[in-house]
Amino acid sequence: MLDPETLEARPSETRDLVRIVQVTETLPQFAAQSTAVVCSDALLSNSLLYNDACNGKHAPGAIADLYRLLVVLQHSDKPVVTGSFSAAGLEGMIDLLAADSGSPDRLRQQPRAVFDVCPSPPLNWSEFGSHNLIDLARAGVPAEIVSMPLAGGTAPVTLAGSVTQHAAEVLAGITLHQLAAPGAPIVWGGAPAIFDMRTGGAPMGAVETAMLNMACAEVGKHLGLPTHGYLVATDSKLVDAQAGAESARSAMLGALAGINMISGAGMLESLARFSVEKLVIDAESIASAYRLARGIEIGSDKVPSETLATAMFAQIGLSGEFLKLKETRALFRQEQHLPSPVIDRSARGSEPASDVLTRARTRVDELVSKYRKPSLSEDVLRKFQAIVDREADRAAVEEAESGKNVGVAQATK
Amino acid sequence: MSDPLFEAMRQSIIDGAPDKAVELAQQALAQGLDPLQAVNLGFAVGITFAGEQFGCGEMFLPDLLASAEAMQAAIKTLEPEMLKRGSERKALGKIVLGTARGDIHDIGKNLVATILSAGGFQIFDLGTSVTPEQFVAKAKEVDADIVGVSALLTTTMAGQKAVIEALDRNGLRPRVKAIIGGAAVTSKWAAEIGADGYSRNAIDALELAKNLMGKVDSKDMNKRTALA
Repeated sequence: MLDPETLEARPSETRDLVRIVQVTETLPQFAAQSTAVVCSDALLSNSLLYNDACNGKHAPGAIADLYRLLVVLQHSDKPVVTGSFSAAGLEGMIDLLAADSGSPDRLRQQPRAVFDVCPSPPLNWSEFGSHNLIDLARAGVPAEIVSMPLAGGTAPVTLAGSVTQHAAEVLAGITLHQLAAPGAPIVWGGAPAIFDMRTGGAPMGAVETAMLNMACAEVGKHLGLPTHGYLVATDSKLVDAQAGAESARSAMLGALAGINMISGAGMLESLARFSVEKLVIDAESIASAYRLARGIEIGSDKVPSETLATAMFAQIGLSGEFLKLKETRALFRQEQHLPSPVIDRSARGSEPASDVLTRARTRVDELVSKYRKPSLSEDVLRKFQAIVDREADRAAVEEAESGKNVGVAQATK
Repeated sequence: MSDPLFEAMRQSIIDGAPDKAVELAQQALAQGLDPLQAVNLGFAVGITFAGEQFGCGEMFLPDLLASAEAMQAAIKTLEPEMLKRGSERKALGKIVLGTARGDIHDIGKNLVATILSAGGFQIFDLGTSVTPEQFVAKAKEVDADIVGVSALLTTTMAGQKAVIEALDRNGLRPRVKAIIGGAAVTSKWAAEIGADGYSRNAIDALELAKNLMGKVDSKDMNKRTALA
């Protein structure tokens, strides 16, 4: 997390994930909620029913994926984008979602979450990734294949070559997935990027990275599949001009390419760092991108006017008082995106001028105060508790067993 | 360095031209030149320069890798004669490398392996998703000086700590040094888990390893975290 006060990175905690959810929940720009960060302070207790922040025992690291899904389900009503960290961990997460939906069948009929599953570039599917694909297909929970070719590093340096590799990896995954359960829901996803020839990193803010995402989505659209990409992110470590430029640019490009689902908002440092303040700034870029994608409308349902606006000219003549027209009042909300105060359009004189991070901090506080936590029934919470306890025990046993192996290795030496 | 042969050797490494480097190495052998001199006054000067150029952003990763490969090709050509003369370039140290358990990202680790190898270290690369037990076993088997653990993800960084704990549990430290790296890793994390060192990139890793070899001293535990 980027701490908004110290402007330094620190390990993300449960309170950060809750704040991310609170903000995402209140912003209509975000269609889905991501289990965005790993909580370094994951605590479990038997008081889940009544309390979130509790003084329990540390959750085993092996269920960090389950824990963050739990936090999101307790605080959000939106669809969820998540993923499992192991082959064994998926079952508990699906059980949690089934409890949230009411039953495994209800989850299957109307799945609330999509799971990111990643091949291992170049052209490999690990045992873990393959297991996840098969298990998701059988549970009827959508899988989103996130292939991440890094052009020049783990994939051909040519952008076209990387698009080819991406398609091959995703098609291989789809084959596995559909063989396990024909017709199971699948998303043509991806996080393709170029490979930085200085640092070996994956620059998510590069224009070529956006181009790769656009091209990969085009292939998916050609195949008639729902598409996903990783955009609206930046390589900057701070919420600064670079962060704004890179994130807004790729939001626009993603919208123009018609990518159905886009992950990446709120993220800094090539997806390694999260900022809630950046999330609310990105929400403005996303709103602008939606507006751009809608285009200039003529005589649509939203903007019922004729092309040349002759009626308006006829009414006003040369007086110029368009502001008085009932059409203006009726249509300006559709014609213009009205940004939140995060975007500074204030007239001169409203000094002192503030910077965007300052305005974003205020906006985050406002949104958090507006947020209302959804209420889950005691029955659902009880089921959550049972699943989490079961998975924590499983993970603890696995940890103890791997410890035992160390003991054996020592004894033989 | 005025000798045109040494100059050509240096240039072949900077150009990342293994064929040229091998040709020059053969030429040196035909002339009866001391192979160690060919390395120290020719080829090694080139790899040092390439490292510096990379450090200041003038050369890029593909250039650096090509230089490292040219270096390895030259050394391989000269090695038999060095062995014959008993003047083989002694490895600076033995390093066991791998990515942390659960982490399959190995670009960074591979780069570090290449640079350390070109820099004169003997590398034992355990590959990806390596368990602490595997690190310990290999370190014992080859009598390693350094164990390096890479982790790209915040979720697998805990695996670096597990390796350090396993090295401690098996009584290998402080004699064996533990170094860590990876995109999510910071010097703060290195200090927190008691690593002996951390570096941001492959070139710095070479410096770090050299420094640690200068500090290998089983009696002096105070130096342990000096580089962390």
